[in-house]
Amino acid sequence: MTPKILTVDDSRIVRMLISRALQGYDCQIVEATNGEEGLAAALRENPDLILLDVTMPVMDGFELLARLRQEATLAKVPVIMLTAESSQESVAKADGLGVSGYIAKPFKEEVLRDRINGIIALTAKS
Amino acid sequence: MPPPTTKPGSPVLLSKYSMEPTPESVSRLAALISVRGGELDQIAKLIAADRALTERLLEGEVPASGAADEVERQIFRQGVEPILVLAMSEPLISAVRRTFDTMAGITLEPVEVGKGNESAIERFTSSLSITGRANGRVYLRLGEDFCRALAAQVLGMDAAEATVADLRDVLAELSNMIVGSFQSNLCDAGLTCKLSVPEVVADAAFAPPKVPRGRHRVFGFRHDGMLLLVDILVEFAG
Repeated sequence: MTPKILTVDDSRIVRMLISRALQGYDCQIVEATNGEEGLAAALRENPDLILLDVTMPVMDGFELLARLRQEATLAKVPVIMLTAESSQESVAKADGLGVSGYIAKPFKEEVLRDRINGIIALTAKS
Repeated sequence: MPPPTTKPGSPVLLSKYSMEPTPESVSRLAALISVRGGELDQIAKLIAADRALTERLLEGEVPASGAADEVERQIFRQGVEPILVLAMSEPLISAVRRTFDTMAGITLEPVEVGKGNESAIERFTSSLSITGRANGRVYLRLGEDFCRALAAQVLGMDAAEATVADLRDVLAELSNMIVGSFQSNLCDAGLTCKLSVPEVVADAAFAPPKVPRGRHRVFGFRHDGMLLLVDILVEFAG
C-alpha cells in the first residue's frame, strides 16, 4: 500500500524541498501550512507518517504534537520533527512526546529520505 | 502513557536522534556567560583558550606567549560586552556557512569588511529578531546576482527562471534556518530566547536601529565573486 505522508510546515520552500526529496519514492504527500491545518488534515487523511515543523503561525508544532497524542486514531502515528529549533530542550521535549525522529534544519535531502524509509519500513513490519 | 523523558543534551538523546554534540564555541559562550561578572583574568583565560576568538579580539596575530595577558588588556579597554558579541558571533558564522553549504552546495569564504563598498552590493536584506535573555537582530544582505544563484541552487532551477518571490522566499527560509540554529545555540548556552519570523525587504537602504548599549558587528563572505554580509546587533540590558 502506498504510504501517505503529511508535511506540516509554513514555508513553501521547505514543502517544495520535501516533495523533491520524495520524488521517485512511492508515496502520497499531503500538505498543511500550520498546526491547526495539520490537525484537520491528520484527522481527515489518517497519514502513515507526519513531518512536522515547530515554529508556525496559528498553532505551533509542539501543540499539534500534543494534540495528536490525545487523539485515539492518531496517537501512534510516527512523527519526524523537521525544524531549525534544535536546542537540547526542544529535542528533549519532542522526545517526551514520543517522536520517531528529529532532523535539524539545514538538512540534506538524503538524510530526510533515509529517515522516512527507515520509519516506514519499521511501521510496515509491525 | 508518554515515554519517559531524558535529560536535555544527554548522550543517549543525541545518539537516539543522530544529533550533533554541543559545538565547542557554544560551550565557550556558556562558560563566558557564567563568569561574565567575575574576575577579568578568569574571562581572559577562557578567551585565550580559543584561538579563533582570540584572533578576532586582537584583530591579528596571537602572541606565542602571554595571550591571556593581552586579552585581559583588551577586556579592560573595551569591556566584556564586545567580547560576548564576538563569542556569540562564532556559532552564527558557523550556522551561515553550514546552511549555505548544506542547502545550496555553496562554500562561503570569509572576507574582511569595512572598506566602504558594502552598500553597493545590497539588493535584498532579510532580518530576524531574537528576544529573551539575549536580545538582538541578525541581518543578511546580498545582491540580486547572489540571491538568484542561491535560489537556483536551492530550488534546482535555472537562475534566470527564478522569480522575485522565489528569491525572497528562499532567502527568508535560509535566514530562518541560520538564525534558528543560532537561537538554539544561544538557548543551549543559557541565553534562552525566542525567534521572530523573517522579514525580507528589497531595495531599501540598510539602516540598523539605533539601540542604546547596542553592539553591532558585520561579517563578510564571498562566493564566486559575490558578497554576503551578515550583521549581528546585540542589545545589552542597562
